[in-house]
Amino acid sequence: MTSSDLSFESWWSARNAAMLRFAYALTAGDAHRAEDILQSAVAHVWRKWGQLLARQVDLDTYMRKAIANEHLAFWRLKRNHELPQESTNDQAVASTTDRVDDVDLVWRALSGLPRRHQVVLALRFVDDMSDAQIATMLGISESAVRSYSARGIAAIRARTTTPKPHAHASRPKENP
Amino acid sequence: MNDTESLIRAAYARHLDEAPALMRQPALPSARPRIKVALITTGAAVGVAAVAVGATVLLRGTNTTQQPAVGPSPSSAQPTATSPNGIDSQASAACRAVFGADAASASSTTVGTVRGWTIGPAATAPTSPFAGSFPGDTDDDYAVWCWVNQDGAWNAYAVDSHGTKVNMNYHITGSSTPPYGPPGLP
Repeated sequence: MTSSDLSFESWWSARNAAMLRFAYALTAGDAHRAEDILQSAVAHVWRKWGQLLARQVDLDTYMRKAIANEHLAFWRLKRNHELPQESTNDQAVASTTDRVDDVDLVWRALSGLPRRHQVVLALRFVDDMSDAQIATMLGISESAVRSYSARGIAAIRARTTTPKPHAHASRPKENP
Repeated sequence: MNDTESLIRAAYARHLDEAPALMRQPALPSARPRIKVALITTGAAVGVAAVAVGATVLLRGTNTTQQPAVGPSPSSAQPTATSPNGIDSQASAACRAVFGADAASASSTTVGTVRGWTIGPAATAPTSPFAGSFPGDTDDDYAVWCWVNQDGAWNAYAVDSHGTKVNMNYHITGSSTPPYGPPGLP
């Protein structure tokens, strides 16, 4: 959709569901963060709307890139400050009930990944983008995309192959 | 595809459909902003605030009492502003309903004030990047300025009586005391 007559509002009404999902995927379910990221990305794209139409930019790709950049920038900003560390993924898993299954463990593990890994995995698994497409969008090399992807998957594998909460749910046997 | 990749796909498939129900739509701007809100630290804010005041910065609104750019403590100039534990329980409740314990300060305002939140010195045309905020509300409807503690920064939001929040894209870092009232001017 690159028609010069296209209004931002009409484009957004058609595409907002996909963009909501993408922002939500990046934050692995942190709706507040996803809303903030999306709000900033919308403001950015809206400001550039005329230029984007004139240059016939792929609007979906540009919006995804804006969302990804907001995600990365947000966390770069926060990383520079002293913070009370949020609960780690492992702690969160340990506090859940034994109904947590492998898919939920993976979902929780996604929230603990470095942000670039999250972006690459979301683009790959949510939007089915190729390494080359991701590399072009993010302005990094294909090898970097493969590296982020492989390391992200490996981290999730490592977290989901550790003992699961329900393995500890039963009472340990007491020594006689 | 190995098992982990299958699980990742399954995790996204299971959880992403819930996004539209859990997330609010972003507020679409209705006027073209010309000035980008700057990210400032407290140290820089003092100087910036002095410049802003000296330049007679405009803050267009209905009944807003203008606050300094960085106001570490409430002043008598804005009696409705208070901390979440203060007497303005309506404002506090509105902020806490949206941000929970992260809400650091709350002060009452109106939707019209938020929509008219204007940046830019008097010498340039003021802009209202939030003119399209809170669609469906009237200018006289109740709203709240919320300052939220998010990962070491104070972030400014406006919230209406329905719980719709607008990120004012304004952050202050380096201060242990939460700001309050409307976001300061760059």
